[in-house]
Amino acid sequence: MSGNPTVEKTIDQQAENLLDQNSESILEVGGHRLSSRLILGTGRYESFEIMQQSLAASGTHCITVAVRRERLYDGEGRNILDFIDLDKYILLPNTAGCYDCETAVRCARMGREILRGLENPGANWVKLEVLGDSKTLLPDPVETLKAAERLVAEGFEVLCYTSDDPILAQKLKQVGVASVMPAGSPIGSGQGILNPNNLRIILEYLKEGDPNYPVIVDAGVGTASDVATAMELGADGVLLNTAVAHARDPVQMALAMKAGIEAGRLSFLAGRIPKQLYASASSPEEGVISTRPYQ
Amino acid sequence: MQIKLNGEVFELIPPPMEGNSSNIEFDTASNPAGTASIALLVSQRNLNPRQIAVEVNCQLIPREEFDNHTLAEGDSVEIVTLAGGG
Repeated sequence: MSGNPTVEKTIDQQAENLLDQNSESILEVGGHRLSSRLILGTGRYESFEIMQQSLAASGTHCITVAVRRERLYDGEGRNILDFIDLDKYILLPNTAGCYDCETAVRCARMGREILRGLENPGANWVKLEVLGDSKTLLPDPVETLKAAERLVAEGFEVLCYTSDDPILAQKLKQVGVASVMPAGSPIGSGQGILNPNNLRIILEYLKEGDPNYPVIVDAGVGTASDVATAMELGADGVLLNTAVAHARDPVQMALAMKAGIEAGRLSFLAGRIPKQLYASASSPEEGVISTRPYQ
Repeated sequence: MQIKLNGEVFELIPPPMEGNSSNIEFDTASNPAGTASIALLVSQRNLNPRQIAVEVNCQLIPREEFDNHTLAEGDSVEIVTLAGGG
């Protein structure tokens, strides 16, 4: 720094402007403009209070929710909606727990109906999840594709949880899903991006001629560097839940995730240096006082 | 009448043929004696209609139709709401 307060202020202002313009933190997906590229789940928190604080710390604009049977025989138990500011967050209902196309379609319709009643802008979309196996929670590709087609035909903006298979990802885009959401690794496993190669291919295939088509990494994120990794590969956003909810300090992890998504996006836009086998000195070669020449 | 409610057998008690039940309020216009509408079931369970969705026999019933949709013996009803999830 020059030590000149006016210059320093100008530099700070320039940095801020750069952040505003180039961070492109707005994520356009499914007819919505989200002010954060991080989407957070609302499940598995120790308490609704911790959930509420974590969501706020993360800076997210969009949160996922599940659709479940009303607990008719237990009048106790608080309502999650008492802890969610419906004016602040766009809700994205999921079809978690569905194992076939028909059930997922019914679930999506129910989620839409509830959000319609709540007058939340998320009534037009759904996070489609059709599982094949309860142990791995891997998606059933056949039922997922069928359900995606049905829901697109019913007017839903479908954000589709899928594996990291580029061929399936292409087919899902072809049937009209608003965003393909490949898993980094199994749901809740915290293993991060297990197959960056496939994710790169998905990004290349789905964004060919359509650079703004949103691809959001969903599932398996474990920590903030996983989020940054996904964004540096070129993903448009990351959806996570367990990584925050089950962190030792969920609120602190939510802050870390916020930093991770911003760091990853900026880094992607800035353009990293290539990896190379050998060193390349960062201090000049000429004028060294050492008698040992560079070789 | 017996229905299935959220996967379990449930005895739904329609409003009585005459007189008022002492602790359930109902609108006789939307619940003719001996029948039970979704609206009645929802209010019996103290549920907020705007926070739930209702299916009868795997068909979603919009909340505008709660008053008019009459439940029948053996109907399978699902009442769902939002829960935390990823």
